Amino acid sequence: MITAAPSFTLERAGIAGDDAGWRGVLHRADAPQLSVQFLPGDDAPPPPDVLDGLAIAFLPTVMRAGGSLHVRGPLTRGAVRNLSEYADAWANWRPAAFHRVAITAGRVLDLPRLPAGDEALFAWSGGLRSTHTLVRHLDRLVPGAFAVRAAVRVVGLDRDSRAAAGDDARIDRLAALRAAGIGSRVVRTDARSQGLIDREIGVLPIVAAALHAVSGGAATGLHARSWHLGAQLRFPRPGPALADLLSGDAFAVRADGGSASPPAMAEAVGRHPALAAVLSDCRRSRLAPPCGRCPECTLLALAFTARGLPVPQSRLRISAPSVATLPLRDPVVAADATATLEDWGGDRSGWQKLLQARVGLNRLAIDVRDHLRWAGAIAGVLPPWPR
Amino acid sequence: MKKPIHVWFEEGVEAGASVRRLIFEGAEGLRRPRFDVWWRVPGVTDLPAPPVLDSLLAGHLLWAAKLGQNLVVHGAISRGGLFNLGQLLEMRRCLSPQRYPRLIELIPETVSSPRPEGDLGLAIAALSAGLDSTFTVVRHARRLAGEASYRLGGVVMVHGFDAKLDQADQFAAMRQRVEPLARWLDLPLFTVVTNSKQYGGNSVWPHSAIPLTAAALSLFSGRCGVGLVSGAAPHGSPRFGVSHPAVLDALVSNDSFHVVTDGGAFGRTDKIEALLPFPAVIKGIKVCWEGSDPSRNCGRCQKCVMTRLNFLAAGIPNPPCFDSPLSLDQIAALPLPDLSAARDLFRICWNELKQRGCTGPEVAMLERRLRRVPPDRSLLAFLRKRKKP
Repeated sequence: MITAAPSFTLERAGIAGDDAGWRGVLHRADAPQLSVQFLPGDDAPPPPDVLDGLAIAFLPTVMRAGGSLHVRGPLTRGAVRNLSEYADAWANWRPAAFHRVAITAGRVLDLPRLPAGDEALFAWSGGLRSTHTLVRHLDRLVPGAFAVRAAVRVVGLDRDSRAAAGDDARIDRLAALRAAGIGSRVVRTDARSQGLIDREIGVLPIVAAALHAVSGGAATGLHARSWHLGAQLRFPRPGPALADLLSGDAFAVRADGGSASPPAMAEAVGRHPALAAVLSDCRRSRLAPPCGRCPECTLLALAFTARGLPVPQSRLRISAPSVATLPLRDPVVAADATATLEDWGGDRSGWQKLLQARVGLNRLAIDVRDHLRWAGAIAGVLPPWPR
Repeated sequence: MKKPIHVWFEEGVEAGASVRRLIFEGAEGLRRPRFDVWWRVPGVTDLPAPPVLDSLLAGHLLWAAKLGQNLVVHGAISRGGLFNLGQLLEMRRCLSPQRYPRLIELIPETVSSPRPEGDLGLAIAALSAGLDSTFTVVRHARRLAGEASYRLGGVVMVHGFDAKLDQADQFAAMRQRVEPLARWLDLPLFTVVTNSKQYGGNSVWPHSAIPLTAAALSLFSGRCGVGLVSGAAPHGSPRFGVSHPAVLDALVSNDSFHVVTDGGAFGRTDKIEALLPFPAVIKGIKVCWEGSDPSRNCGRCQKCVMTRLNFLAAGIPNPPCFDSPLSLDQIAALPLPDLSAARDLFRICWNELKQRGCTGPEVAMLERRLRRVPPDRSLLAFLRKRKKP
């Protein structure tokens, strides 16, 4: 039996109650409809007329199913091109999981692409990478630095439902932003509860959609690259390395950074004690205070130690078991651990030696595995490698 | 601290050609402290001046980074371009710290945010006659990408890259190969002659390949808002390898000229299959850059053998763009010293052959060859290195 590829239709819908916001509904003939909303608060600019951002939010869902996506409303031509390429790229990266998507719209707008502008919105999770992106522009540490129009915090991405602890932590973070002289904007979304966060692609499309939702005349939104570029030197790398495809012609969502080592980022962030004090990369939840035990918390504490800086939060600590069991099979963790080691500028402490031993052992294990694969391939027992 | 390199821009019309120059002064380690990098567009005299110098400079920025000298630009750079070029320097240094030992600064006289002047919907595409660029040009000119297709305002061949400046006859022969394609697609075929690879570009090749190509395309930025270059390795390639990933290519864009890498979602065999309905196009494909004659495919180098395997995967054992048949010896002789060297071959040839269920002596020979490829850090290579004095 031949099954026709599903056909999805996206349209903008009204927000229930008094909230101002942006809501999209995705219809599919043979399945229940999905919706997503972005609530940016009363003082936010109105959401854009073009629906590039809503299409981005639903795209991973459509990519999983394959087929076509028709947008009832305006899309910029740049978005049609970029989102088509985005779907193609993931389909090429993981053909068994993702499919190409034919994108059409009621109106495809040929808008003049805006110059980058002087100001940008910054997606900010409170983690080391996004805080580094924020401060390196704030402190003009990067060529062509953008002025910070606002740090945009997206709430509703985490699995953790401990709302009370999360809210407390979030309020601290907004105070930290104020202390650093940075305007902020909180966008609430139900993307997680609606099942729109893809397990492999992650939260970036939803964050990008939230930036589109509050773009309000800005030309550029920045987000931090989620992994150190060194991660792509490993096999396999975390995902396809794409240009800024979650952009349209009315608003560009640009990646920033990815080259600095964790210690270098920690040093830059450490110049803003209020922001350093609320850092969290915790695997459990970035809204809640750091657990101090997961690999991300360990790497964060190591980043400060490697620069001889005090760890900025009492909950962050390093322990021998947490360093010795860092999951270096994960290319992102491995790249961060290696970059931390290579950029170790603080005391040549026991922690450095322990990390060195962990990374060295991992390297040895990879070499042994590669030689076994090689021998197996020559003997005809294993297929040729890598893939 | 090394002294910076200073750069000035000049333009004019000479002997019926638009000419643009970047004048570099202060580069260390060269015989001449001052030299010109130039681009000529024969037969075109009315190109509008570029509002900013970002894309013209991009190819030489990496060369300055290799020298470890800051670059002082006596002209305008766009804000978006300055950010992009800064990212390009950071990322290239992160990936190749030995080659780019210091993070240099790009210091422009002026930072501006020009509104794009050209037709924003119009693209100018690079065409080398290779499989990737031929596919890109056909894909967009024939609107095979539907609503996502770009309108093409012309295609550009560069004399000074594969064909050196003193190989005018060979370049003319290269151009002859693609003229039928341009005529068929009803697109103007422009030639850009440049010494940009010779001066600076060679020392950081292949990292400079797309920045230098973008520089040639940006000569047309007053007419076209987009420069199309073709992707080499598909997005699914597990590592960047020696090719040019789209994430880095995009960083030679600026506020008035946007560089787009096309075709990364397609394998090379996919591209051949897309071009099969157009036999005259297949005949004009020229992929070889190692042979003595840049206007022909030598048929023996790695790129030629890989491309022939792609054709084999597409069911074409003897494609018309090669003069002689593929031999098993050529497959056996593929130079694959380690896995890094073999990764492109895996992704671009082997996987595509397997996906299509291809069998036969060529496939069996390729498998035998691939089985012998040692790991990146093999014990044998280590011992051999230790033995050397």
